[in-house]
Amino acid sequence: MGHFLGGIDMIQEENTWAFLRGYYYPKFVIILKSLAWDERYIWLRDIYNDTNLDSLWEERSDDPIKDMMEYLSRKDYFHFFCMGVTVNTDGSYKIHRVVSNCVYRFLKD
Amino acid sequence: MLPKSIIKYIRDSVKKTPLKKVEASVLPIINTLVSGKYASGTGVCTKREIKGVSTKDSGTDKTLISFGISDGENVVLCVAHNCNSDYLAGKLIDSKLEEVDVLVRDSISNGHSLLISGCFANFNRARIFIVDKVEKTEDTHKSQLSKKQVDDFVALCKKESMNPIDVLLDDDTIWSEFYADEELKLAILLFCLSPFDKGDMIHIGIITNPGEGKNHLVDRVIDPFVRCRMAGTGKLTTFAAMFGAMSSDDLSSIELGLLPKMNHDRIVFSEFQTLNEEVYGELLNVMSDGHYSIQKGKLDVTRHANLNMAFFGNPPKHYDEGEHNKREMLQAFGKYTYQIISRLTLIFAKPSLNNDVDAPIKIKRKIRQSMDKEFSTNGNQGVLDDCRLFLREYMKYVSKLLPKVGAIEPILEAAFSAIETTPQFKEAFAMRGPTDYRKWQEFINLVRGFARLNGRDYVEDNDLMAAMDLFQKSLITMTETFPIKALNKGVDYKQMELHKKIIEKFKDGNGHGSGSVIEINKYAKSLKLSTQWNTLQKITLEDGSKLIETIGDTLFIKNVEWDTFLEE
Repeated sequence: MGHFLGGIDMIQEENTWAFLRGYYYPKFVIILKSLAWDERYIWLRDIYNDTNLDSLWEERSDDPIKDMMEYLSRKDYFHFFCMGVTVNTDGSYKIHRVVSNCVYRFLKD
Repeated sequence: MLPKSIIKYIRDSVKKTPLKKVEASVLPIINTLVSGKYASGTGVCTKREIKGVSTKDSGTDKTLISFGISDGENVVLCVAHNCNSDYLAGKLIDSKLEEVDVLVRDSISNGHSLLISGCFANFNRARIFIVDKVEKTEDTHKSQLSKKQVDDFVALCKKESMNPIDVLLDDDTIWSEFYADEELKLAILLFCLSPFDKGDMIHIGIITNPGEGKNHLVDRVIDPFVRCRMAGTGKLTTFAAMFGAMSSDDLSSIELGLLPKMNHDRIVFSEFQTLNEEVYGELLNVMSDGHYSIQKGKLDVTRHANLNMAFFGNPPKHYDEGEHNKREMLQAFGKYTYQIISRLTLIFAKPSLNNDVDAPIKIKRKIRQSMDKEFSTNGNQGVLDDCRLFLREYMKYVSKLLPKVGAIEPILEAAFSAIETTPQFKEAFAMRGPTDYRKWQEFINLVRGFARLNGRDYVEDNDLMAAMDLFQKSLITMTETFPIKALNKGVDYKQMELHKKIIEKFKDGNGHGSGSVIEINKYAKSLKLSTQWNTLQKITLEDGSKLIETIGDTLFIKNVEWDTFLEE
């Protein structure tokens, strides 16, 4: 029944998202917010570029950091977090190295 | 500060059940040595000797079984026999004696505890304990708490918006006499679970500066809480004392050492840096398999030692926090460093046990309170004793739970993969295959450990999160403390030390070293490190060049980071 409706897979995915949101996301946000903007920009840009291979981050002006600030203010950190994780239908997941680095820094500090 | 409702529940449970401190002990027997009164005690059989007796008094074709029962601290020499009473009182019928022998042999080989009853009597100018009854007992590891009591406790914690782990971590309970960071407390709590299978074992390593209170941690937290023995230092912790040795009286029997005596319990190796390397070598099997084999003469025996081990030690004498890399802290494991850390589920190598900026004040307060006996006066002792007693039984109960991790398998595997792919993990465990199965098993065990501490037979996301945090914090310590690559390639600390000394003595002004072949050979010989010197000369760096180049009669010694070394 569950499989027929795609229910079990959906539950697995939802469980994984709940786990990711509970474990990785707070560390991701805390560490990114602690970074100076020049470093924060690089980390966020890396996530963006690795997720959007066909449309890389454009440095549209002479002040790419300001561009990033504006984009972030519209999209929020969760938008980047979602780009930095891949959740499969079976519930397994992969995280971007930036997310992994955030966990490392969080625990190290 | 614990809610009053939880303290009340704990104290009521202790009083109503009533809970009493139950642990393997032969002291009740020893206390009747003079009176010869009937007594009982619990321990593991450490040796067994058989004697055939045929005298006028004993009757013909009789058997006398001598065996030792130890609780880890004391030993009682026991005798069971079927001789007539003119020879020795306490005759057992043949079938009963055979049953005793089966239990004794089973205890020696599997480490099962035995409850023995009888009384002392004189025999051949010796005072021996004549055994009347022998039973296999699980009392020492069986909790006195019922399932309902544990469930009620967990439910009460939930009602108070807490987990049982929060109670176990609280400064008013088992930690009232010791101040430590939460990560260290968690590691100790996991260590205090009893392993009943080799997959349950949790070994930890703690290396800090002297005076940080490692022994105090054992005396005031671990020992009053769970059954734990501390292995002596250096020469006192011999191979025979730890593993066992052939009896000088009977070459066909092997006396058990401390490890099998502590089956399902735990041992702390304090000042482990003084241990003999041979002892480390043999510990490796026990740490991973939970048993070991001894071959002596015609005997080939396997002894079980499913136990948690903790290694507490100090950095080497020459370690200077200001000058040296933290990696030098762990020279103490000697040539087995890499193998030992692979088997340690958690390791914390840092100068201080506390990261909290207020730690010095809090530690001083704890020391002052301890010296003023604040924990044993004004009614506090009763609360502390009750908490220890209740939580001790709680730990026994939850140690036997078997939390299944299948329900969160996809997340668990992905979480471990995420850790495995970090540069820190790859460096720490020098992965040779697609995955490190030992670390995988240790990781699952941590997750299960957290579920157990929370009194559950199933795992939740929170258990996984807690395990991930602790596992990765330990991983960070490791990668910051050990020259993993060098150790993995077989470059040991003595070789590293020699290299450093040569660079210092023969410095060329550019940060490297150079000198004549004869002089450096002589210097290495004077340090009694000629073997290490020969090995150093064979080392090739990752770029393909030699660590030590020879041009004519001169040697040029490069000063490089140890992590870049490869041995030929």
